[in-house]
Amino acid sequence: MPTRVHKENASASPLVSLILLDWSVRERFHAFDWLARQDVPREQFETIWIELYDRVVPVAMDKADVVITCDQKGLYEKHAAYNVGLLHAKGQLVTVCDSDAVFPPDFISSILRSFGLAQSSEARPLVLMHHEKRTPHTYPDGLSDLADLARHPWEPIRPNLGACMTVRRADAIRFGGFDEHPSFRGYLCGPYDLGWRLVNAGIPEVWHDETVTLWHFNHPDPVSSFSQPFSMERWSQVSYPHVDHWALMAVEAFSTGRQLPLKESPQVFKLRMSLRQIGTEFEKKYAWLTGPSGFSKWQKFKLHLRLKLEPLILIRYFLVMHFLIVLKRVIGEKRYGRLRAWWHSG
Amino acid sequence: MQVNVLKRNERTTTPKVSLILLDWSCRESLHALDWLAKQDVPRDQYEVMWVELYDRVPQEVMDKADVVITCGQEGMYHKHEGYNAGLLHSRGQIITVCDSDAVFPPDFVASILRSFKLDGSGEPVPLVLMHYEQRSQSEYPNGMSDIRELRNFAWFPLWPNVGACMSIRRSDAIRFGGFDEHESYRGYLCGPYDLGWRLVNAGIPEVWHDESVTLWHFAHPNPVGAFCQPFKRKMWREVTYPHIKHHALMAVEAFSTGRMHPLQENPEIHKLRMSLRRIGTKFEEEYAWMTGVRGFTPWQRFKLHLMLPFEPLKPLYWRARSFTTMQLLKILKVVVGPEIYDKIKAWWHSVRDKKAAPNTES
Repeated sequence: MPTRVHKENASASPLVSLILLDWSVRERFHAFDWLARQDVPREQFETIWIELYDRVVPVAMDKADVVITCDQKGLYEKHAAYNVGLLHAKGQLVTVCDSDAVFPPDFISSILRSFGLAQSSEARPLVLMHHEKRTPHTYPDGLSDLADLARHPWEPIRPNLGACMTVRRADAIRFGGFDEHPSFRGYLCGPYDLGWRLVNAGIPEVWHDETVTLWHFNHPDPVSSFSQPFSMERWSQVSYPHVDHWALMAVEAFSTGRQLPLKESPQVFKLRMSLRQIGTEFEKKYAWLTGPSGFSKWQKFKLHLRLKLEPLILIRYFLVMHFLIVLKRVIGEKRYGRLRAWWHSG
Repeated sequence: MQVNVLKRNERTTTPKVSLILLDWSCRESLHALDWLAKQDVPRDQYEVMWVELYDRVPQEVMDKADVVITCGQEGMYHKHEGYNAGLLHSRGQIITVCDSDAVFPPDFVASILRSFKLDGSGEPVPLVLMHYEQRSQSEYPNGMSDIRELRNFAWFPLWPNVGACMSIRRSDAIRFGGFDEHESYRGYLCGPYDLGWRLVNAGIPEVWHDESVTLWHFAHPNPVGAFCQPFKRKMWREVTYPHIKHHALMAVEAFSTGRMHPLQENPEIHKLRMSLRRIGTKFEEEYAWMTGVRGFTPWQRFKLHLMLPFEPLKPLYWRARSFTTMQLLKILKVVVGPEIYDKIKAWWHSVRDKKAAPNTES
């Protein structure tokens, strides 16, 4: 996937990196305005705008800290873009969230509190899932006060796993990032793929306080709500079977306890492998013998064959040793020493 | 594998370290138990677990170990299954897998506690602590009781023998599926490094222990365990699977591909690690236990694949089904009469409500 960075973040080290996705569909960009009104210093978080195709909207260039296009072809693949965001993120925490939500002003500060970053410089491990309220109303022009949200009817809150999640960047990398398996292509995917695998790895999952929920207005031409009547467009974006609209492979990972993605991003793989802390140089030899797909069939065949022939190899070694002992006696220690030195120099 | 616990740790204090010592009816000297009795930390801070892969249990082991387990294995031994039996029965926050015929320095357990920052209170830090082991060609001398006597023997140069001894947090061992019970680990070429390397893949730092607290290993009278010995058919027979310079092939592959899970997970460990997960909502728990360890069956997958192209017909199907059911019920009411119909309805609702009642079992 040829990514292109259109804008980079000059800020040194934000605490939170917000990954916001677009696949040439966003009709509104109000999320930037709500994120600009957070009650923490602006340098504590960065907004990373990732376009899956190639549309670059001026408002994103103006208001986002990082703008990247992925130039995907055919049906979009959100997880590959999440990984692009993850790799470019500078924050200790990465937040994947709806790029057209309304964010309460204490959204970032509540994330920092949840991860213990308000008191300590090291974030604690956590899978923090954020609630998102939904309304059938479309986004009203000129909305600028959070109190005005009360004027709209909101559906009862439910754990919408596909909406928004925050994890430590280090944990996301350690467990292979977002799964780039083709079954996640299209609409049925989301941060819960990684979130559930982190839960499998023993990281506690917590749902964020409902008082800092995100608020999501309806799209003018909705593709994203399964409570809507059947839509051919929506259906065409479902590329793989699902369980109650949760990606099949994510449910299977959760249910089998799998921790790594089925298809790992090569860059995330390289990064996580290089971040390992291996105790000795001796072991490092074994840490990089193969690529991600392991030994080839041919290599395995040779090793199997070698095992069967091991007695012969060891007998050969034994014979060579005895031949050398005899040689030493025949030609004398001095000449033998010279001969050995010559051999070793070659 | 028929695990039998012959002796349990009766101490009321929870130990900090559980030492897992394996035997496969081959240990000719049990001196390790004496060296472990001479540690410079209180005895209740660690427990000695003796795991016999077959069924031989010397009386000395029953007397000196805190926990004694037999595995009743048949055929070629499988050490990793024995390690897992120890792991599941251990009570310490740290587990140490080590040679059961080594000489342990008196500060061995204390140095483990220090490394994991457990010498005070609090939680151990995540770590893969590998222990060095010095090796000698001499056999264990009778009556040795002072660690200073080790100087009287010749020792090979120290090298990172990953198969010898390792300490990790018990919780980490469980989180990453315990020791791999894959068939390729059966026999001699296996060891704690399988799990150690997978933990390194999972981001846990590996540290080699201070050489001053190395273990000391004397040669066996009839050595199976030293590849610097000439070729022996017995030794070769205990190698069941190809290897890379005597490191188990599947462990090297896991290390090199970044794998974290065992190829064949112990079912008890799988159950335990799955139950220890902290899932945020009841709603998600529904999806956390849908399949066994093998995932969806081919038949389940086939059905889901089949359902996908028919999804556009779903709304029509539900409408048709609802309409047909209502019509059938109307006909039934006419045929059986309202009184009997109401009785059937009440019975059906009671059955349905019973099914939907929450499970109150803990």
